[in-house]
Amino acid sequence: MASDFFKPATLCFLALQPLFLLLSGEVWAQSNDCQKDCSCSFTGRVIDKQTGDPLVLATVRVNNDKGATTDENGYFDLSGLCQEEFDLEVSYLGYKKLVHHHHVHHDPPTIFLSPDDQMLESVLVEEKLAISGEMTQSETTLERADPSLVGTVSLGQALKELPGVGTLKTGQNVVKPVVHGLHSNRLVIINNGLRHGNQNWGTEHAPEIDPDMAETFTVVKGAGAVKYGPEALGGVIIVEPPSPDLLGHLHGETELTGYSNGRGLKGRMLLSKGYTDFAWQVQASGVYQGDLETPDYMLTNTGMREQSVGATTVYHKRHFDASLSYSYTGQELGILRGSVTGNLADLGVALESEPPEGTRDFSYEIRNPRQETAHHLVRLSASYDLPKGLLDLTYGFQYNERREFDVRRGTNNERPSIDLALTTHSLDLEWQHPAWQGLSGSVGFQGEYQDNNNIPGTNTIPFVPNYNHTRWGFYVSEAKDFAGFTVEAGVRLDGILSSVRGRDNRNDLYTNDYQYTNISASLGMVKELSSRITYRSHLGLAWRPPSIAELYSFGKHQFVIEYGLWRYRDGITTVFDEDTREVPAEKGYKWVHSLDYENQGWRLGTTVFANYIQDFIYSRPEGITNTVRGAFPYFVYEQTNAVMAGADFSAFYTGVKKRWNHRVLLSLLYGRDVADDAYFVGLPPQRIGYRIQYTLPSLGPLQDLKAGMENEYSFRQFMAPEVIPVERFMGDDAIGTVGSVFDFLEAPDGYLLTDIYISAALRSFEFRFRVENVLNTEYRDYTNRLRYFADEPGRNFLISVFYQF
Amino acid sequence: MNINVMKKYQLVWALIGAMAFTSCGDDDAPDAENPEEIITGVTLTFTPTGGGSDLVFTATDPDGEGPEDLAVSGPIQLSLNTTYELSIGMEGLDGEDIGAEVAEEDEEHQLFFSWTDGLFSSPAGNGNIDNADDDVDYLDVDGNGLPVGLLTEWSTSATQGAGTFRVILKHQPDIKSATSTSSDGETDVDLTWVLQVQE
Repeated sequence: MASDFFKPATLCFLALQPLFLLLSGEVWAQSNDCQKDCSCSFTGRVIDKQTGDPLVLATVRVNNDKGATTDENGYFDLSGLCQEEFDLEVSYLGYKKLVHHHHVHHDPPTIFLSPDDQMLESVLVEEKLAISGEMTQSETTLERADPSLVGTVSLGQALKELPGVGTLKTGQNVVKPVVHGLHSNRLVIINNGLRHGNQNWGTEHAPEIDPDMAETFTVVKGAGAVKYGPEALGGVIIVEPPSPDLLGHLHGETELTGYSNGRGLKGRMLLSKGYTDFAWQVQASGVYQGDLETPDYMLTNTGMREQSVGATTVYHKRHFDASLSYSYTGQELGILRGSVTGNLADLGVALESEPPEGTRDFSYEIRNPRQETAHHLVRLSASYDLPKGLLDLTYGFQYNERREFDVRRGTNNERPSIDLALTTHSLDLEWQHPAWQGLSGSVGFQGEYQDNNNIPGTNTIPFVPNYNHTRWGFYVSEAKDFAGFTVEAGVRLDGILSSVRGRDNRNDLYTNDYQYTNISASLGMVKELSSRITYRSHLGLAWRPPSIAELYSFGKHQFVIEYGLWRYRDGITTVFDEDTREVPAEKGYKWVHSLDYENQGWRLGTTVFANYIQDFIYSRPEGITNTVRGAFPYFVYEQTNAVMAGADFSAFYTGVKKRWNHRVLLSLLYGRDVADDAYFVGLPPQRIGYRIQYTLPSLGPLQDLKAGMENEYSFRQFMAPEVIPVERFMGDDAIGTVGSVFDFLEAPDGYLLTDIYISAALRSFEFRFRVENVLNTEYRDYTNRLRYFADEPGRNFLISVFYQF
Repeated sequence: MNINVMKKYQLVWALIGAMAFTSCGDDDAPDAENPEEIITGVTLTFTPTGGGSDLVFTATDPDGEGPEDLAVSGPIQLSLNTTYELSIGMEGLDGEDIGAEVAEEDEEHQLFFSWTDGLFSSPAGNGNIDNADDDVDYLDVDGNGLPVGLLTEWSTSATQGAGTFRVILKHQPDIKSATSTSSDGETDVDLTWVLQVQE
């Protein structure tokens, strides 16, 4: 709608006027006695009276009966006429209508139309935005209206509805997305137009983004989308909030959802109004939830709280747009009590306890271990429609606070063991240049400054040091159309300067300043094989400097002890730097092919990808260390070469009468450490999902009735590393060093989950009812870190009321 | 809800503070923390109740969570037919007294013991790590009347013998009860010494 005013492509679209060649040629007509066999036909041409240009797609009608439109040179052709004489009515948008009496025996007419003085009052052009640098990328978008999103409380959960996206969980509330096997800082998340600035180094740090504040979720599966900067080895996730419309009346929507498992309540609301050149919107949402339960027992301490607020204003003038937005998301997430373990012996006990230790009756209370996060975002953006191209300027400010509380002794229990505050300033400047030599594209600069600080008072040596990052990047992305296909190429130069100050395990200060510079690039093409089939191919080269945790972590984290690349090597613990231990940046080469087919109710999409990552950083067990607290496995960060390959398949079919609707999603992934010939822990297993939905336009007073069933089968992960049970590390014949990737437990069995739902609208209300895990299946998820300790939640009834005005 | 009004204001202040100070430079090193979590040393002091000098044995791990193994002084050598009071002390990285903290939080801590059967005449058996109901002569109790184990009594057997002596300290917040065992809660200490009972 009016938000399209803010999208550069629309402006370009309006600015571009099609040019047509003037052609002159013989105009001819046939004439017959056709009153018997309707064989009369004739041709003609429609031309602008003022300019003499042919008018394309003008409408020509005969006696309000037969009709035709003009072709690109202004010619029309009428046949099958049963009369020799008739009234010819010619009309064209923006021109005066003309009626001409014609006889087939006359010469073919050339009709001159004169522009109408009374032009249309307004023109609304709706067009899907083709983001420069992304046309050749395989991407999928999910909208808020998708029935699978009812009751979704985390971003990771929402994104799971997209083919190729999985989740990595630490319990039920800490959920982060995995794209093609990669997660955390190998995915770039763009939230409200800004790179989400958070502590994304730990698997248990979920992005602080409330899916209830978003309108669309898009996953770009290619690597190295030059516009978004480095680190997108797996892809880019774009989360867009709704945008207020200009000239919109005061309107809003509100939704309230209650659910049985966790006895949770969730609400959201949106209010928006637009004026001639100004519009505003406010949003709020919240979740209040207690302990979840499996089919057999409670999951103690899995409650959550979330509050979000957001406000956006937009201002529009001719050639100028500006917008200012602010959002805040605060979360408090409980982590399963029974997942806290001490040494290896405790871990062994925890693996066997069923239900997990510390299981109690239902409660809304959130105790330790838990996480408290707060994320503030301020975004100020402006775009100028220059005589030559379009200029976009965006400033972003993000403040991210993360506190993680463990089960600790005495008064330390009230202190967080991790307490970090991360401030991010970013500046993005982009110039979309006008078409030049057949090229269209953009040039941009991005700067970012991040300051991460440990908040004192944790009574524990900080797991990661303080650091300041300064990043800069320049990119150029160009597209060119050839006969039938488009080629897109982009190149980007990035640098990151890091200044690190931390404390080692003897509380001594260490400092280091280092930098990484690299080039990333992408090359892609898109070709319409036919009007129904589109083929895309994209080769992306992306890179990622090691994260602070990968370099500097030292100490106990969850039930293992971890040492970063610059804190440990071959039995030596000291603080290394780039001179004493070189750590090359990760480089990823990802090739994605996709084929999309769309026809008569069918929509098929296939994506095949291969991703080779050089110097892939991962942590692997190195051995067992004996401490006063007993034996612990210790993990070290290492580099290897990895391959991730696979395919995503999606099929949508809408029946002829649009009553029955089918969806199939299939995700296949193969991942391997090719240097050591081993598997990684925690790769999402193969998944297949099927949804069937029945739609009834109306039933009595009810409108738009929908009933559906979703089935999802997750296979057992066959690409799991070897299993070494805890007992092997203890006792007299204990394994001292490991040195290869292993897991403490076998990968869980495959499982089938079934959800059913029904929804209907009554006037401005919409009621939705949904049952998750209808069969109350007992299962464990391979990519949930808590699979060692507890089952996943059981059946869940959700009811939701949606009101719109 | 835990994020209350105070906290919301805190966030706003933090926000303003962060905006004002973030670009101020790179010299903001983290403060030195007092790491109370990590126990780097455990001391066993056996005091003969009939008089005589204390016998002291230690286990230390100066690098805490570092990969270096811990050093155990020993073996523990006790005399035949003697009764000892065993007091257990613990210290942290910066030398702070964690034993005192445990004593303060005694309602959520318990020490468990196991040893090679036959080394002691009292308590009999092999200790309460495998079975919480087995005998250990605790000399201290917490506010709920449950044993703690920072102070215990041991009488050696009349015959010579050698074996092992294991001490486990469990942190059991909201868990410690009359029926809790050595597998409940988190382990703060788990150490094994060689034990000899001799002339």
